Amino acid sequence: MEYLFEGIKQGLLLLFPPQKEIIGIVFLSIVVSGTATVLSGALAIPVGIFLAVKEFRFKRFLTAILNTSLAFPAVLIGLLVYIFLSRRGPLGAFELLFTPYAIIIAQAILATPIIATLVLSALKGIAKDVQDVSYSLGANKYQMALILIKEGKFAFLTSVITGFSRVIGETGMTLMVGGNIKGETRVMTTTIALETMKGNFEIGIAVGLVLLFVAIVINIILQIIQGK
Amino acid sequence: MDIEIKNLNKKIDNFRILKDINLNFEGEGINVLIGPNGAGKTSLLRIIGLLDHPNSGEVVYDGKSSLGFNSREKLNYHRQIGFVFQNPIILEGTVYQNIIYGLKFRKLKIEQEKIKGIISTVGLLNKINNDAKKLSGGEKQRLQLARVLIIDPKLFLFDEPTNNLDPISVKNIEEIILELAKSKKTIILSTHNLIQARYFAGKIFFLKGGEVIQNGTRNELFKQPISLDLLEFSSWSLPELDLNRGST
Repeated sequence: MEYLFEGIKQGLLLLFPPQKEIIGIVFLSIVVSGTATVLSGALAIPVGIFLAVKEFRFKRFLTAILNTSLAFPAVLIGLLVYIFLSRRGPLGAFELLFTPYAIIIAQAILATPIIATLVLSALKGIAKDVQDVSYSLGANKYQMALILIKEGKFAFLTSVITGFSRVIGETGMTLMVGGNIKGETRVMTTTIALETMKGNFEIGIAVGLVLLFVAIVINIILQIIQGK
Repeated sequence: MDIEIKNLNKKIDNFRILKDINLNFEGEGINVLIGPNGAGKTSLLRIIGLLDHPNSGEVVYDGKSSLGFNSREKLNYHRQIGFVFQNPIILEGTVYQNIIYGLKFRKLKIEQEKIKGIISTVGLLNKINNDAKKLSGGEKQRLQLARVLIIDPKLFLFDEPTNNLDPISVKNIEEIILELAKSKKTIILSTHNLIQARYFAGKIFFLKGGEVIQNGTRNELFKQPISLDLLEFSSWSLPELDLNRGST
């Protein structure tokens, strides 16, 4: 047990004051996962709204595909992104593999079905009512969509935050496509994995505490939103 | 607004909700749809209110068939119809913000005096700045009525507007509906309260199992019912009918 407490003590010393390297890792993690979440939200929220509002022939089929994609293993997404971005892959010319962009792409793919499904399930309950009341009060399609967005804003925020918390904690996939290059693609989760394997528990613990802090903040925000 | 229903059919999951409905609603005054739960009253109102599509048949508004509506015409007719739902649907915001939605959608001028007058009519003036979602059931129903009154539509559709309300709220809403009828608006109202149906007078349509069984004035319907269904429905629904109420 002693070395655990020693590790925590050393870890805390690395955080107060925070070391430049750790600040860089935390900053990169938040920027990469934040960008991935924003990109996936930009795609997933309209998809969720569309599926909630629109009646069309293959709606059930598409919804089933979306739900199934939730079970898509992250490591498989990592493998596919790796293949596409590798030198011999269809997008190899862009030389994105082992850059933060590769992590953003993979994390955005991972977050999209999560956000879309959460938006869909949240809007299912209110979309019909909002459509009915908006159209009956004389709204056109765009005005109805604005009302739906207004009514569903907490659901959107909850979905996006859940997506962010999922991707910022992702390790295997991030390691595969990012390469865990120091100062370039090393994020919090890959740092913890690497330093633990090297036996440098204090760095792992220090970054782990930051990751835990981020998770707690996200949960507090979610609780506040859900309480509204 | 003259409303004519022609050969209207509606199915949901292969279950026929409405079966070959053919009706003419009075252009001025109150038209009452009566019938037990599941008779198809709400489905019919939703189709007239352009909130649902029939599987076949048409609704004709002042001689214009719904079959030929493009999106602009549909919006134009939507804006001439006010729908009061059975379960009030309240949007986020205050009572005031809820009431002006219809005006904002139409980009109409917001006249504070008119708004206050209508809020006063429905008895919500002291709650004008309250969170609308936190109102009681009766208050929400009156709010959605105010939201429709402010847009002054030609056609009012009321889907069981006084369901589950206290007697004072029921009286308040009934009086407003009677005032609308006097101002030559077209009103189509559904209810399974036969006392209310008789009170509103006008033309009454008895629906059951998605079909119009009988229609006519209240005297024709209740004094000379031609179907056993209506007789049975009346006898269950009017055990202690107040003969004085609505008899003038």
